Amino acid sequence: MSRAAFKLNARKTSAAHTAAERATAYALAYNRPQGLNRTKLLRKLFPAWDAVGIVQHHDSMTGTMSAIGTYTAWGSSDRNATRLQESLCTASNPDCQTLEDYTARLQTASDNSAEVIAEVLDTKSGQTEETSTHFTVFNSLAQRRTSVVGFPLAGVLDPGVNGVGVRDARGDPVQAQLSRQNDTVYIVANVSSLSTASFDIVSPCTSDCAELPTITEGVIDLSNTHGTTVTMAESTGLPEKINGVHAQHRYAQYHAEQGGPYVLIEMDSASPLPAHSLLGSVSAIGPIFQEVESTFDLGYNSSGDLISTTRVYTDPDCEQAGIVEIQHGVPEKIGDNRELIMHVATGLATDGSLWTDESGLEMHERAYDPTLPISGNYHVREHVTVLCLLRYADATISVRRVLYCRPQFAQNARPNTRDRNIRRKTRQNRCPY
Amino acid sequence: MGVASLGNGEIEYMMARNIVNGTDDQGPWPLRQLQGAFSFPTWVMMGDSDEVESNRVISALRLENPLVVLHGDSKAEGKKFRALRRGAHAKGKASPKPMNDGVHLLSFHARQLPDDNEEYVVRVQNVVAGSGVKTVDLAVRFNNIRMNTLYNTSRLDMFERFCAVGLRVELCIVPGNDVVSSRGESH
Repeated sequence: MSRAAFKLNARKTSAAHTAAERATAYALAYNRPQGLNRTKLLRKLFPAWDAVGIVQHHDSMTGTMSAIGTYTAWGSSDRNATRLQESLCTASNPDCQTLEDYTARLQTASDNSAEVIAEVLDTKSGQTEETSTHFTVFNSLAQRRTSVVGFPLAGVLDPGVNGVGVRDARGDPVQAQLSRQNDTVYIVANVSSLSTASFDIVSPCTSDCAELPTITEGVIDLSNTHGTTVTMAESTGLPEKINGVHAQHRYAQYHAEQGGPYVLIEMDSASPLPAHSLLGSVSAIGPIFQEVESTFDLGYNSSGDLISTTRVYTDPDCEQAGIVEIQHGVPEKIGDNRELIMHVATGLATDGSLWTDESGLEMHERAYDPTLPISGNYHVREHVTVLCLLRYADATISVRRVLYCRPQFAQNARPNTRDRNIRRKTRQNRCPY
Repeated sequence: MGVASLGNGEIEYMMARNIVNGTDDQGPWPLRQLQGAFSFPTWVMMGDSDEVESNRVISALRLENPLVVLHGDSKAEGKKFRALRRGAHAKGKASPKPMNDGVHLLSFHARQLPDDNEEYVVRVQNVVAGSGVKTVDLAVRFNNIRMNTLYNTSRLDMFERFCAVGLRVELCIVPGNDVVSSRGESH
């Protein structure tokens, strides 16, 4: 597992742990159900908390800090690697941690979080995941949320035979839409703060059934009622304009064998990946959202296709309103010694201005330095969000990537030791990425 | 994984790397992606500076904490789940009310105490730059749970310090008890 994949996994696990932690607190604080074993739950959450904290600490995950935000860090690769390796695991260090140790800890955290939240919500009783037609949605945030969620249908129901519908806890129909492949049904779930909502998939369905998307071929302009319009490029299927502003997306790659922590050292610009013709597109014009799915042949690996899904949600009340969500399925095999990037070119005169967020969530401007190699102008995406701004007059385009990082690694579930850890957390409440 | 702007009006961000034998001078961590296909969401938002600034952290937190979808059979639901789903209405209590926009519930978790009771830690954070002072009445947000704060009040005034980070307050709440501990610090 690469460091990048490990980080992504760590942040997803962290979010799962947060949800389990809050569901447990909710259950205990507000309505302690019979049969809920508090000690058992908290003991199971503790190693999950511990694991998330350890794997998110920069000492356990190298390559996450740079002294002045420029390329590489300190020492030669051999010396640095040796020193770190020795600090991690040597014969004289019985507490050494290997990559396998960290991976195992993360898996424990993920498993424990899933078990705890299933125990608290009592969803593990009854049918197995593969055959369940009942779903529970939990909102771990303190605000009411209206968000699109998908329920997999594979192995459960065949909507092509008798149709499927979705019903809420009261049995009332819920507006739903099927995926193009009939393997997922999507709804807009409205869930209160720190609460759950439950749904049932029913079949056969005779009324208020989930709708199949309407197929549209060719170039598609996506728009929603919130006023966001995205124009897709005919040649690639990637976004070309956003609200009329040029925003040409393309994939490109660097090719090098050594470099800085956030991108390889490279003096030449990234090579744009060949733009293949749009192989297929589907516009899912239905009650929930519109969807375009495009498949690309990246050209450098016969088995590596890149799947790109672009969605514009049509519901103005949905929390994604006004936001175009672009999901990239990274191929299993990327060419050797290559680094895949998404490059966005706009017509805005930004003079090289770039803003990224710091550990305190505040934005810092990053000036372009032409004397540095490319990696010297790459900046880490630090905190819970990664936001890059290209500013021009009053217009702002932000490209956002969230890295599932949250400043919670110092939480302490053990009694009598909380003050020290809490103080450390509040004073050094930064995520080390 | 980084981001850069190498040209006028341009931006690029790294998506994946597959370095076979090289290093990034950052230690022994492998740079070769051997895991199967994975995906990550990227949100593109467009608006003026104020609009983007007021939404960026809130949206990030939503993206970071997606709705959790769990599987289960409604016919096999236990009493405890049905009770939880309805909140605490069965006991005459209401479930926690939503926080104001821009107020993030940083922590909400239980601690087991040596006397076999438990306490609950709540930490809140003002995450919107330029939004001014926010006041959160935790007695309303976490109603019917007795609580103690640093200020001997359940109303928390969160002042901004940096652009987006306000005062973070940690407090412990204990159902049915008077005082456990409280702590608030400016970050």
